[in-house]
Formats: sequence, C-alpha cells, structure tokens
Amino acid sequence: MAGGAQLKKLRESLQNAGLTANSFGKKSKGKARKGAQDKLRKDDKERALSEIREKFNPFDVKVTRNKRADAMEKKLTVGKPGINKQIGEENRRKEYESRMQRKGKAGGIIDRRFGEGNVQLSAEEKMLERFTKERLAKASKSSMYNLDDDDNIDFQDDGDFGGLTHLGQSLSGNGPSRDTIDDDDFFSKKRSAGADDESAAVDENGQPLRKKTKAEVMKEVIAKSKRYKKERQQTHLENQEKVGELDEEFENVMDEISEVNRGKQTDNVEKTKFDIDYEMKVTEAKLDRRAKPTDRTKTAEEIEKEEAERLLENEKKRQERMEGDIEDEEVRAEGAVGDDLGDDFWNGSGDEENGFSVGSPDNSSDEELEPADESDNENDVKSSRPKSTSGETVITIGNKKIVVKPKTVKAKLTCPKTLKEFKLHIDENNFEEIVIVIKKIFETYQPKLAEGNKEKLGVFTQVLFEYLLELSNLPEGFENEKYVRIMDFLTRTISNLTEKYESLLLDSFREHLKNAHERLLSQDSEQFPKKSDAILLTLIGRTFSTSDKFHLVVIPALLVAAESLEFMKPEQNKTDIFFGIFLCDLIIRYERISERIVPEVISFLQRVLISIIPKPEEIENWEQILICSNKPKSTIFTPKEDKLQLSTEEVKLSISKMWELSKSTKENETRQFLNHLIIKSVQTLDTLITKMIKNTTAAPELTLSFIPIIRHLIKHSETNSIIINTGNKLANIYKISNQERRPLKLQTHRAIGIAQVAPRFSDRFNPDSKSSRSIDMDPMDPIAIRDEINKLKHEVKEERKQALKEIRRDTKFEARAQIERKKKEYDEYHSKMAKIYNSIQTEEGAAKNEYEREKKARKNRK
Amino acid sequence: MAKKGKSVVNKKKIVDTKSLLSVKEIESIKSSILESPKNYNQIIKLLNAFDEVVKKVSSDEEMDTEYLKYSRTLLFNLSTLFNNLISKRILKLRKSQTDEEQLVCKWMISKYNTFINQIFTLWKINKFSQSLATLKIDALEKIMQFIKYESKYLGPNIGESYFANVTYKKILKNLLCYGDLTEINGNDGTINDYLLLEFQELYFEKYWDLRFYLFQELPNILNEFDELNEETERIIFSKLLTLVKKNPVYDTNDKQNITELPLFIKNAPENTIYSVNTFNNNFEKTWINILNLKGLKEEEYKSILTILHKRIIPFFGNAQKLMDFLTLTYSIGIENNNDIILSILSLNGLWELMKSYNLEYPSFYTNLYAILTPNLLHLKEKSRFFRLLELFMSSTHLPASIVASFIKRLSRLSLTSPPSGIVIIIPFIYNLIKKYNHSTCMLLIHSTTTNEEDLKYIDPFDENEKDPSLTNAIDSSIWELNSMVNHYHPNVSALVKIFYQFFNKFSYNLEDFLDWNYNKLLETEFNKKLKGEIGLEFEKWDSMFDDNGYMEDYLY
Repeated sequence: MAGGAQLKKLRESLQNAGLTANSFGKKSKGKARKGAQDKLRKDDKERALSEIREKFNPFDVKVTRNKRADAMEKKLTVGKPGINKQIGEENRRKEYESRMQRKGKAGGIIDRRFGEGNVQLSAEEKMLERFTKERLAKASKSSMYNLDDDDNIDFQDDGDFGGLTHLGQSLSGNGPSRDTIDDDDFFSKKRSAGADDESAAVDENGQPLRKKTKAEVMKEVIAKSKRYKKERQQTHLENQEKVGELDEEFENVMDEISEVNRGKQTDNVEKTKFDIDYEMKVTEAKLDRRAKPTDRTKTAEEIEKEEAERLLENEKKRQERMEGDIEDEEVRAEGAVGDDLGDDFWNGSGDEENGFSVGSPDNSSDEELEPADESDNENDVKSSRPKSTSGETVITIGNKKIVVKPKTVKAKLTCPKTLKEFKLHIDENNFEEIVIVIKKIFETYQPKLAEGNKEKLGVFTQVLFEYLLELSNLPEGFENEKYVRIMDFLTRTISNLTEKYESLLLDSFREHLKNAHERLLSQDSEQFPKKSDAILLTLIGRTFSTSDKFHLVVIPALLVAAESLEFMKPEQNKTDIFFGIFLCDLIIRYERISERIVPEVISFLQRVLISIIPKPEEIENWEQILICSNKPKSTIFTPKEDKLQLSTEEVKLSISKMWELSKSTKENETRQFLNHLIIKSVQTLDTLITKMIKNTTAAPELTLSFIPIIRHLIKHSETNSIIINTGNKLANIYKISNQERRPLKLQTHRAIGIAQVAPRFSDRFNPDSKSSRSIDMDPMDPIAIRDEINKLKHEVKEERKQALKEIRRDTKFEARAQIERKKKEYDEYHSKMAKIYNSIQTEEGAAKNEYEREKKARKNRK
Repeated sequence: MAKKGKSVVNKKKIVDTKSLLSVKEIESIKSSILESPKNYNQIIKLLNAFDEVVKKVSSDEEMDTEYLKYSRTLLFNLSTLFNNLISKRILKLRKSQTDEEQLVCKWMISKYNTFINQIFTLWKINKFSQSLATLKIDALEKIMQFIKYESKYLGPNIGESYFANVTYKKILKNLLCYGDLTEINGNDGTINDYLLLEFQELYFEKYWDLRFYLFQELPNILNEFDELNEETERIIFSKLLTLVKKNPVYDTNDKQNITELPLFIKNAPENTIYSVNTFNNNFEKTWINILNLKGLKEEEYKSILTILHKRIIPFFGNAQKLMDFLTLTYSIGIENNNDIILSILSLNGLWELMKSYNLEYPSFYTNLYAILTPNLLHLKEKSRFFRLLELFMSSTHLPASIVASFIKRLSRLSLTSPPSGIVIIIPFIYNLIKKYNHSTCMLLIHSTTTNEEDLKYIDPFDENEKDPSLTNAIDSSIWELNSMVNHYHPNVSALVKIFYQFFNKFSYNLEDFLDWNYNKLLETEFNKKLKGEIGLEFEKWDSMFDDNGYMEDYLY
C-alpha cells in the first residue's frame, strides 16, 4: 500500500513540476528551435528533479534547528550526512587503491629481526633468542661474514635473523629466488603465530624448501587426485546400497501407516468411559503449566538468609534516609508501588488477629504468638456468643435448626465511609464484636473481589483510625484485656495498612496532628493533652521510620510533641507533667537510632524535675542549670517532706491510670502520682543521657546542668539505686566528655582565593568591538589571555575529536577493504583449483574408459 | 454635676408626672420655645421626657425601633433647640443684661447643663445593645455640635477666636475616665470602646484643635480627681493609649505644615494651637502624669513600652524626662531576672533617647548581656530584641571579647531553645562575624590552637561572669551550637552547617529568620507534597505498650 501511495505521489509531483512524459515530448519537439533557452530549462529541470528527490528522501537532509536562528529567519544549516559519508568513502577508496598499487613497489627498510614487533615477547626474551640464534649461526661451519654462506644462514634462521633487505628484496642478492609477496605473507603469519614449531611445520608443507620440477608436481597432483577419487567412489557406492534397501522396505512402511490410521477411526467409535477420562486427564496434564523449579519450598536456612538480606537492605535504605541524601526518583523506582499489592496480601485476611498484616513477612515474632492468640480469640468468640443469644433467633423446620445470627455480624455489610456509619454496625461496648465486624468488613471487601474495594477499604482504614483515637480517650486501661486487645488489633491494622494506603493515611495522620496542634494552641488544659494524643504519637513512632531526616509525618509529629513540651506547664498541671514525661520518653524512642538532639526535651525535663523535687530553693549551684536564670522556687507540687521515700523497682506506668491520678485532687493520690513520676523522670533522664547527650559536642554543658538537680535529689531522698546510678552516670560522662573536649575547628578546608573584581582600564578599549576584552587590544590583559587559552584549548580538543573520528573511519574502511580483498583472493584460488580438478577428472575419466574397454576386451578374449 | 442631675429628677417628679410626650407635642413645644422667650419654661417638659428616656434605657434590656426613633427625635429636637438658643447668645451672661435677663440666662444655662449631664448619664450606661450604641453615638455628634456653636457664639465677642474648652473638658472627662475594664484588650492594652473609637475616628484624628485641647485639658482633668481609684487609672491609661497608638499625633517631619491641618472650630485661637512647643509640652505633661499613676500594672507598662519610641518620645518637649522611667524599667527587668520582657521593651525607648537625645547610659553592654537569659528565646518579643541587638552589635568599636561573650552566651541558650530561637541565633552569629567584621570571633568556630595544645585544653569560659568583657569567651568554642547539627528539625541542622562552609556569603537577612514559630514550621511541613514513598518502620512490634511493645515502660 505504502509503496503504491509513494509511487502515486511521485507521479503527482513530477506532473506538478511539468516533468512527465508529455512535457518531455513537447520539449523534445521544441528542442531544435530553441537552443540556449533549452539549456536553461534543462538546468531548471535538474533543479526541480533534485528537489523532488530530496522531498522523497527526507532523511538525506538534516537541518540543525536553532530557536534563535529560526526567529531571525537566518539560513538554516543544512547538512547531508548520507552524501557526505559517501564522498568520504569514495575518497578513502581512491587513496586505498593507490596505496595498494604502490604496495610492494615502494617502501622503506623492513626490520626482520627476530621478535621485532611482537608484543607478546619481552625485551629480555627477545635478546635471549637473538643471542642463541647468533651463537648457532656462529657455530655453523662458516663465518658470518662469509657472504656466500649467507643463503644457508638465511634458511636456517627462517629469515628472521640479520638478513637485511631493501625495498622488500634481500640485500644478499639471492632475492629473486624467493617470491617477495609470499615472503611477506609468511612474515605476517609468523608474527602473529609467535614464531613456534607449528609455523615451522606449516612452513615445510606449504612452502617447499626446494623448488620441485614440473614433472614431480604433476605426479604428486595425479596421485592425490586418484586417492580422492577412490574415496569418493566408495562412499557413493555405500549410499546407493542404502537407498536400495530403503526403497524395498517402503511399501511395508506405507502399509503399516495406513493400518494405524484405520485402527484409530474404529477406536473413536467404541471409546469407553475409562478411555475418555484417561484422555481428558492426559490433555489436562498436557495443558497444565509445569511446576517450575524455582517454586520449590525453601529451607529454613534460606528463608533466614533472605530475611537477613532484606533487613540489611532495609537498614541501608534507612541509613540513607537518615543522612537525608536520598534522591526522590530513586525511591520511586525502588519503592513499592500501590499496584504490587499482590493477592497474597489479602489471602490471609481470614486469619485471626494478624488479619490484615499477612502481606508483610517480617512479623515472625507475631506468628509465633499467633496460635495462642488464635485459640484465645476463638474461645472468646465462642464464649461471647451465648451472651449475645438475645440477638439470635432459632427457626426450627422439621429436624433442622437454623440459627439466624444477630444483625451486626451477619447482615450484609456496607463498607463504612464515616465514623458514624461504622458505629451503626457495632455495639460500642462489646469490643470483641467490633473486632469481628472489622474483620468481616475486610473479608467482604477484599480488593480481589470487586473493583473499587481497595479504595473503599482505604477509606475504612481512615475511619478505623478515627475510631481508634476515640477509643483511646475512653476511661479504659490495661486492666481490661478486651480493651487492650482491640487497641492492639486496631493499631497493628493501621500500622500495617499504612504501607498500602500511603497517601490516604498520610492525610489522616496529618489531619490528626493538625487537630492536636490546634487544640494545643487553644491553651486549654481540657482540650490538650488527651490520651488520644499519646496514642497517636506512639502509633506514628511505631509505623514510620523515625530516624529519617526528612519525613512527612515524623517531622510534624516531632514538632507537635516539642511544641507541647514547650507550652505545657508542669509547674501547674499534673496531667502536663505526666504527658510531658511520656512525650520525652517517646521522643527519645523516636531518636533511638539517629540520636538527634531535641532541646525541648532537655528543658522540659529540667522544668519537671525542679517543680517536683523537695526544696528546690536549696539546690546548690543552681546557676549551672541551663533553664534557671534565677533561683528556682517551690511550686504547688513540691513535696513537703524532707526525705522522699521512693521505690527502687521499675514500674510500668499505665497511661489511663496515671491520667486518672492526675485528675484527682486527693492528697495521697497526688503524692503517689508524683513519686512515680520522680522516679520515672530520673529514668527518662538516664536514657536521655545515653541516647541524646552522650554523643553531642555539648555533653559537658548538658550533663553539668543536670548534676545539681540529681545531687539535690540524692540528698533529699532515701537511698535509691536508680537515682544514684543516674547520678554516677552523669558525673562520669561529664568527666569524660570534659577531658575529651577540644576546641572546634570547623573551617578546616583549603584556603580559597578571593575573586578578583578590580576594574581594569585599557587605553585601547573599544566599545564598538564585539568582545570588549581581546588579546589584540591588550596583550597583557589576564582575562583576555585566559579566554584565548581557553579558546585554543577548546579548538585543540575539537580537532582531536575530529581526527580520532577520521582515523576510526579509516581503519574501519581498511578492514572492510582487506576482507573484500581476501575474499576475492580465496574465490580466485578456489576457482583455479576447481579448474585443475576438472581437467584431471576428465583425464582420469578417459583413462578409466580405456581400462574398462581393455577389461571387456580381455573378457571377451577369454 | 451628678447632683444636679438628681435635683432635676426630683423636680420632674414634682412638676410633671405626665406620661410620655408624643412626637407631635415635642415638635410643637420646640417651635413654641423658639417663637418666644415666654415659652422657655416648656423646656422642662422636654428635659423631663429625655430623662425618662435615659432611665428607661438604663433599666430596660432592649429598646424597640419605635422607641429608639422617639428618643432620637427627642434628642435631635433638644439639641437643635439648644443650638438655636446658643446662636441667639441667650446662654451667655453679659454685664449689659438686666438682672431679670441675667436670671433667665442663668436658669437657661442650668437647663443646658442639665441636658449635657443627661447625655453623660446616657453614656455611662454600661450595656451593649445596637440601639443604645446608636443613641450614644448620636449624642456624641450632638454634643460635639454644641462645642462648635458655643465656640462660635459664646466667645467674648462674635467672630473673636474662642474655643469652648469648658464643655470640651467635660466631654473628655466623661469620655475618657469611665468605662468597662473588661473591654481592655489583653494583647496590647488598647480598649474596645465603640464610643471612644467613634470619637477617635471622627474627631480626634481629623481635627488638630481637638487633639491640641485634649492634651491641654487632660492634666487638669486628672488633677480634678482627688484620688483616682485603680480601675479609673487603668481605664484612662488604656483609652489614651488607644487614641495615640494608631497614628502619630502629627507628622514630625512636617512641623511647618501643622497650620494646614483641618480645624473643627473655625475661630479657634490660632496663635496658641499652632505652637508645636506648647503642644509638645502639653503632651509631655499628660504622659508624665499618666505614667505616674500608681495603679498601673506591669501589663500597662508593657503596652506603653511597645509604642513608646514611636508614638510618644518624638512628641515630647523634653524627652530626657522619660529617662528615669526607662532606665528604671530596664533595670527592673534585669535585676529581678524574672521579667526580661520589660527590659527588652524599654530597650527600644532607651535606644531612641541615646540616639537622638544624647542619653549617657553606663555599662550598656553589661546590662544587655544580662538580658541573655534562658527565657529570652522562648519569648514572643525575641524578634524585637534581636533587631535591636543586631544594631548594637554592629558597632565596629566593640572589642572582640564582648562580641565573643554574646556569641557564646547565645549558643548556650540554644541548648534549651525551641527551633524558632536557634534559627535566629545562627544567621545572627554569622552576620556578626562576616557582615559586621568581628572576624576575630571566628576563633569560636575555628580555633587556631595546635594539636599539642588541644590535649591540655580546658574551656576557659566563665558562665557566671556578668561583665561580657571578662568572660574569656574568645578562647572558648560554640560546641553548644555545633551540637545542633544533630537537631531533630532538618532545617535547623542544615542551617548550622553554614559554620562548616566557606564564609563567602556576605550576610543573611535576619528578618527572614525572626518570625518563625511552631505554627509556621508545621504549616510548611503539612504543605509538603508526597513524593515517592513514605519511610516506614520495618521493625515490627506486637503491641504499642508493655513487654515487646513499642514503648516498653508504659501500659494502656
């Protein structure tokens, strides 16, 4: 089609240019009349034709487009790469041919010493070899300087030694006896082969040492050809025999084939069920995809190894993110995309507990715990059912009993889009039921079941998130196992699904953080802090890689946490004390790997300690405390007793319980609360020292500022190992870091030159000239000189590039030409040989005939 | 005056117990009074009616529109009536008058005063409703009109320059000295009184003569009170602050053109009011009186200090008079150590005095150094302080030891500071070293000691030394700030790195770094777009709390 269209177009354009046969005809008629004019027209015609050619060969012409040049309507640079190439090729051919003609006819001295030009031999080896050869030559009968013996030496040395030549001819005068060209070839062979025995052998076969007489040559040739002929005849005979045998058996074979065919037809009619089944099985087996060897079960070791590798890889990536030098694109390329949300992720969604996390293989510890959890949960489910029997209805039909389960579980679930909708599905006081409902929803809306399910579940996860935060504000705590279980379930689910619904949950996290921040700004202790804020920030720490330098969720979370530490009032509000210490612990946990410094934690911890220790006004060296600009005063939380009784065992603090205590106004409860928190804050300080303070350059200042507080606390409490240990640690680190302190040397880089900006005045300055600074104007101008040098450097570089290109092209062409020549030579050789064979064969044929006749005649004679 | 009002009320009960006059009656009474002096007695009817209105308004929750309309008519009629009387010079006592005439005149004047007092009572009603506000503002307009008429007609002779300052003083007293404390704005000490704002917008800021007489009369008003209670003092203070805060009282660059400013009273005595010196002296007297009020709290001082250098000092006749006030507030802030805000705020005024009025302030840098307390970087006013500090530290005559002390101290403060504070310190120090050429202080960043010397190195900085020239900070280093390379916020950590790089940027614009806070930082974080993936934790925990949880030390 395309060809046809092309042709049509060509014809059309020819017609348009007035160059069709008709116009030619007309022209030819008018040719006689107008001579000069006609020539002009012919030129026009040529031009028109070339234009058309160009049009139909658009790739011959290449135009360098330049935005500015286009705009200025300048002439575009038009290149014809194809044609240029061709011209170059032709030039090269001409040159090559002339070179080939000259070859062997003119030239310089060829160095034929042993090993010259052989890269494989070292200089020493060469010298050694040459030396032995020299010695051998000397050892032979005549002196080297006997010119007559030169022939012999030459032969022995294979011409490698000492024989000087001129113009490719031996200087010894024996030159004509040897074919120069052959000699040359031999040398090239010799060089490439590295001058071994093998080449010597070739030498004996391929190159007769002595010129044979013509008769001898002919004899040899005839003998050879006879031998070949006999061999050929023998194989021919054998072939003939085999073909004969096959021909005889052919009929039998055909019979058998037809028989098989017929048999099949009859079989088809009377196929048994068994056969059909069998065939079905066979075809099935055939169509079945073969199990691939890669799918084999991996050994435990292998799994372990893979796991370790994966962790290593993750760690590497995390490290990069921590340094903050990762490129976005790279992340995109490497990172998981929403699409690779494989089926396997949802496969296990029926699983208990772990439910929706199955996709992630790294919860091996989870799996270990799972069985217990599972049975636990099943029991719970069973035990919970009787409770809800009020919701079940039992319909009895005959012997069958149909149990209709309560609506919440069984009814067709819609995927809730809002918290309100979700609450319609659940009984808010029955936490197990809620877990079941959530699982049910996830099961019903598995993404593989219907389109759009994935999005729906994403929204549902957001709803769950909201629900989680609402739940966390309930006055429930660790005593309520069911509560703990649903909280763990929800947090785990959200944490695991974050990977799948990155952007959706990012929005959720941001929204909740924003909400917390706004409540914080309202400066209302009823509004902030809430228990849900603690849960939210912990969940963020658990879900995201908190060691990242840049992170869309972690950095805002840190900011919100730090902001609350900055604005909370531990001097006035008990909840603030607890929440603040919790936040300090959480932030230290965030920074457990990256060990970044958070000044707010330091200042908050000092504030808390000062406001809850006894007699703060008696602290010695209070000037050392960083946050104190004047003597600390006692607050409403300052204990009245002089010596505190503090427990030495590490207690796990329950958020809900502490919250409750912080709201209570009873004297003894407050005391208990504060005593817990004193110990807790000392512990926090302990981790703060190891995680944040120890490795900073400001360690002496930071440790020193805590020392007075801890000393004071030791003085005003019964002996307590936790406090004393922390005190010792502080003192140690202060001592060590102070010893190791060296003045800063941040500017240790090489000196840099100062940019020269001094103006330069030139008498010959010409504002009209294009470049204001050129070497012509002022040969001493350093800038002009520099520019000039740069220009020349650039030119050299360009030239070099061009020359290299040219050389490369040349060598390529040479190689091609050589191959061509070789081919031609081989062809010539083969055709020559073929002719010789032919002639011999005909001769032999004649001889054979004669022999046959003779034989016959003799027979007859008998 | 209040007593007079009461006597009127009593009179009203005796003379007239009639119910409300109708609008028509009001109109007819007015015209009859205007017709002939015989009917002057009728005025009492109107005044009684208006008194009734004031009473009803102060007791009732809300007036309906009908009643509002009625009371406004009453007000308008009364004021036009008095305007008319004023223009007839009936309210002017003259020697040429006969005794009888004088009696009538006196009686009329007392009625006029009664009316004015009624308006003041109306103003003092401390309730908010739309209609009441309308009525109050109407009354303001009418009463200001009286001043206009009085000045025009009640002067010694018609056409002579005269300003009715007696009435104006009464107005000012009632306008400025009474009000509601709850209306005071906590942030900047201004008051949210619509009547005052109306006065400010329509009269005070528009007319030069009103401004002039306000500052002339105010000291007298204050003197009239035998003993001001704390509440009144605070009200007066905040009202005056509100008036002055918005705009400068006149353009200091354009003193010549003061005569071009518009006047409310056309025949105001020009010689007096166009004297800038007199105005400045009055202004100064007023403010010194005000600042001497004993009931003022720290908040009031803070709010006045914030505007002192711009709105008050330039208009003082003799600004040195503020010297004691400023130095005192400054040292109060430093010495008590608890409220450096006061010092920071007074610094502006002090600087103004030092710069333009040649104030000698001994040990200025020592006191400045004392402001660098741990609280500094947590304050909202820190940006104000750093602007000034940059100015003070830009002096090329400062010894390196002092600059180094400041740098070292600031870097120590960074250890407990929020990111917004650290972010100011870093470019500030950079600018000191590079822009203001305190290049010796580079030693704090890059010490020139040899490695052998380093082995024996002990930090010589004395943090308890109060004198910045004796702290030995120049031989120390800013390790504290250097440790912020590891700050949790990436921007802060990136900023610290400028100390590692070549110092080839001339300066940082400090303004870009002054006004950061958590809110802004969060906003920029929230506005970041999701590119690539979010870094997720690959370590997994069984639960949030308890053993094997994320936070092992806690429980739900």
